[in-house]
Amino acid sequence: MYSSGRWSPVELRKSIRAILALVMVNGIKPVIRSPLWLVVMLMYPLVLIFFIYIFAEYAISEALIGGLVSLVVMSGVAIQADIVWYKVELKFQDMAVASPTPPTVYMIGMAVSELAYSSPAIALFLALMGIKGMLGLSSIPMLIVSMLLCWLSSLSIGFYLSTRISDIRHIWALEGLISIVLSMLPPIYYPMGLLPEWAQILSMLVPTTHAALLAKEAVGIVSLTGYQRLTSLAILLLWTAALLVVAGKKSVWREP
Amino acid sequence: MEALSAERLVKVYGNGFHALKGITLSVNSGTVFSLLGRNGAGKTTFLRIMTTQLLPTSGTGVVLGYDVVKEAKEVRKRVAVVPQESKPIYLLTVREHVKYYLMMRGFSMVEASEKARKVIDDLGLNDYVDTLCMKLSGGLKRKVLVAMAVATEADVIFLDEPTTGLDPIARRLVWDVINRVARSGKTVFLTTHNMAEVEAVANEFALINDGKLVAQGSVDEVQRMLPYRMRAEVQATASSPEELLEFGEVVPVGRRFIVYPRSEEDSRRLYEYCTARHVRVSFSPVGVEDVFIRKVVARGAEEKH
Repeated sequence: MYSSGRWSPVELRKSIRAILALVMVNGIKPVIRSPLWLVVMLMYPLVLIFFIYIFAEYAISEALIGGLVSLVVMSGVAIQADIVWYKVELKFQDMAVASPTPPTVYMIGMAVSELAYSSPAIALFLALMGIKGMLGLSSIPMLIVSMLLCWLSSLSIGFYLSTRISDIRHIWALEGLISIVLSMLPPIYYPMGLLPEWAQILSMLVPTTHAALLAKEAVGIVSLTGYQRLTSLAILLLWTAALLVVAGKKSVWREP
Repeated sequence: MEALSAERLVKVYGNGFHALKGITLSVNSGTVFSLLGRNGAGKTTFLRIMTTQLLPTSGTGVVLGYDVVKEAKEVRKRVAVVPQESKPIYLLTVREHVKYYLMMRGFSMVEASEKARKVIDDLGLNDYVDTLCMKLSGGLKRKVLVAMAVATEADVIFLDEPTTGLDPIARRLVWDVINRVARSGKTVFLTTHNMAEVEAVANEFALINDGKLVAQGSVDEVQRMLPYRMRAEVQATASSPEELLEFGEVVPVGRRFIVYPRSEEDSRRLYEYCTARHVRVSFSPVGVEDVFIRKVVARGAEEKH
């Protein structure tokens, strides 16, 4: 299989089949048979929003964006656990290496499969945002771009860590830690202005801060100057590109 | 035609461990070939190199005419592997395992479903086709993994210790599958440390120890390398090796001695000696285990002294 030229239609069709198979294997089938995962995915941002609703109802729009960013981050970072699980525990990745499946196709399939867990929760958050009147036609393109870049950078972190750590217990611990660092500490659920100045500067180094800023601007919660918007976009793009390059360079398909 | 061959294959890991020390061997197409050796002998390293999962330090590996380093893509189209200690995905059914693995390798959904149906039928997994793998026994789980590899119609199927950890009944289930695959004309390359497995399924085998090839050939050929035809197992607690030396070569193995009588007369005398002392003894023709004992265990003991 995968016999013709690298980008031929035949090759492309086979790649799509492989991605579809991985989405079924690692996403849709496990979600259908163990729907508790959907609840777990949803609970984390929902609990935070619940508290924000109780203590500061006026900040609920900001919190909804925070929840959306959290879900996207979790969906990306979660890939590290699955990759290590398939590689170390099940040895499924060894079967994939010794097969015509190209490594990029395997990784894309694994990445897309993660969306099966988060997409119902993302849909719920979008619906809540719609009910709150936060979504308009003009807000959708930037919302998609910021969330896509946020997802790609989280995925790259997940990919990179999966090549460095082989013990699934460490992965689980790290996954929680990274989710907190990327989606709870920075001004995602709350306005940046609430932070002291030094913390604001620090938070500007975190890619999710920019993803949230762009998303908040898209739905009209904050207003950014053209320069601020470009800076946020550039930082987010730079983070994503740098993390993707590092993950690509460090990922090992055939062991040396 | 050769299905695979290795020429002076060497693997030194990053920590300086020499896993393979210049292995040269060849496997004919359409055979079941077993690489036999103790844990840590280098079997899995060899298999991982030949299936393009691991790079060798030096030497060459060729599968169906393609170099495993320079032409890995071509090799990958023609091989399928069941790795050591691999497990099926708990939340997938038997049918889904085979079908989605085939799709991952580029088959269309229709082709994958058809091939899955056929292999499940061929391997006698029909009763479990829609059973989640987490509900299957150890033997059936291994069978599912083998089914995934077989369904690919790869020319060479690599099985890394396919029966390790299985009970005797489950082991026979897997042997049955290997024999069925062999009948279809495929080449099966399996690693094992189980001597009975070699005798049950392999046409040819190679014995590897400490990263070096010790013997290679058919079971009969390798048995003929031994200077003895018979072996006796003597209960160790009731005798000492010195007393047994007069009947033939003695190799202590666990709580027993393996004695290789030099002649029929020695066998008869050993039998009389044991029965007179109420020592348990059993005689049998030499087999793969004896090749293993003489080439690996006895040599190891000599090196220690």
